[in-house]
Amino acid sequence: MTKREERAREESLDPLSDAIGPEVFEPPLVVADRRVEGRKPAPAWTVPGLLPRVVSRTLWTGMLVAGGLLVVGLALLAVQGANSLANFSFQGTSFGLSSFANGLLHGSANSVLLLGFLVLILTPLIQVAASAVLFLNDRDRPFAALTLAVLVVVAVSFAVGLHA
Amino acid sequence: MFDFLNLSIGLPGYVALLVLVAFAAGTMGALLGFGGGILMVPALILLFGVEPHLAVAASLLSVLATSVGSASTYVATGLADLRLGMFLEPATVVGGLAGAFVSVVLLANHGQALVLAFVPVVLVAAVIMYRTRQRDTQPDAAPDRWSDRLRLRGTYYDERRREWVEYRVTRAGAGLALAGAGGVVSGLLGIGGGIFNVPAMNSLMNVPIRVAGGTSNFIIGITASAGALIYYFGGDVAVALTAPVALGALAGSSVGGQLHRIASAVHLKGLFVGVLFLAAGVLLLRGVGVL
Repeated sequence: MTKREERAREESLDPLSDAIGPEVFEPPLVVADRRVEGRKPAPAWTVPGLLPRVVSRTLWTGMLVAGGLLVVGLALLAVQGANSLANFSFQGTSFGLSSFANGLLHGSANSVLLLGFLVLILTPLIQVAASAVLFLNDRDRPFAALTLAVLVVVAVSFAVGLHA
Repeated sequence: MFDFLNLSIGLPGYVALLVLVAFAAGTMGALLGFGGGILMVPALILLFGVEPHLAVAASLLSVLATSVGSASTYVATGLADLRLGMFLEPATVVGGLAGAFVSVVLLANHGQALVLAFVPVVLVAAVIMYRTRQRDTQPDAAPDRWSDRLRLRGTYYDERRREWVEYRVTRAGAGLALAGAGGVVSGLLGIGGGIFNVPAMNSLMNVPIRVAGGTSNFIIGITASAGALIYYFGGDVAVALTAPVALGALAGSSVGGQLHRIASAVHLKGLFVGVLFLAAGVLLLRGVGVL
């Protein structure tokens, strides 16, 4: 092993090196007791860095919004009919923008649920877009290219798939 | 086939069972990182009497709910490796497109038999995972050129072992190929990406099983959303059916995420072997045209 390789190896094994992000990474000596920390735990085992934080927050927000919409939509569905197996719809719902918007204004269960599904579908894509921005900002070219490539492929597959 | 619709359980019973099954699939999917689609699709078709294309759409939404519900925690705790995920994601998505293209255009939807070719791959993955269940990774494996250049390595806190664990990726190319194969199967079938991602990361790329599962959870969210977009705007989402399924999966995913904290690597690998055998069965059924 050459000197340079040896140094690189040591660096990669050293948790204090920049293996994860630009910040200095300090493993806590004692894992904090979450009960003591109260309502909002500051977990000592979360990884540092802007990227994980942004991605995690995006996914968390998407989950809460979509989950809330689905709960509300299901409650509306129970109120607005669908009270027997016979009229429990087993048909796909075609998406029309005007009926969707109109339904939302009038609090129709179908539209609220469709909005919940849309939030669920878009959340990972928003997260990928946010990662792409952060990778570009870090001048991390390979990963900026990979994330942008994923977005392009998804867009192309959407266009082709919808057409087919 | 057994079909709850023929039982007089009424709508509340039917919906409750839907939520329960989705909850179980979401728990397992989030815990092991395969999403749960391979359980959800057969359950919807065989038990609940749902038409296949509606079942695949509902299952995709449940996989999405599982992924979105658990990935935020996995990402924050380093159990979902973002760089590793974004490295494998393009292969999975492109593989999925290729699979869908072959299935729809070249084989005019008669390509199910192709799925059979992947059954041995799943079985081999199961055997390898079973035989390596006692040792999770090889700590002294040297990173390959790609992993080194792309800095595919990480650290996470193992709450069960109460220590920080470091890992470095090896055999990035082989892992990429297997993830691509997973994409092809999911394109042919509408399900199944995670089944290949986890063995690719753990058995080939030397990633600890906890991180492999967390990262796979993250990856399949993006893959499922690409597929779900098409089903959604193509009008294949049955709203009243999909809502309880997605909510059940969402609730299950948070339970799966909690179980992940206390499960050991041996538990996780043992369970995953079971899922792989199940997946081989599902692929077999699909290949011979039962599903």
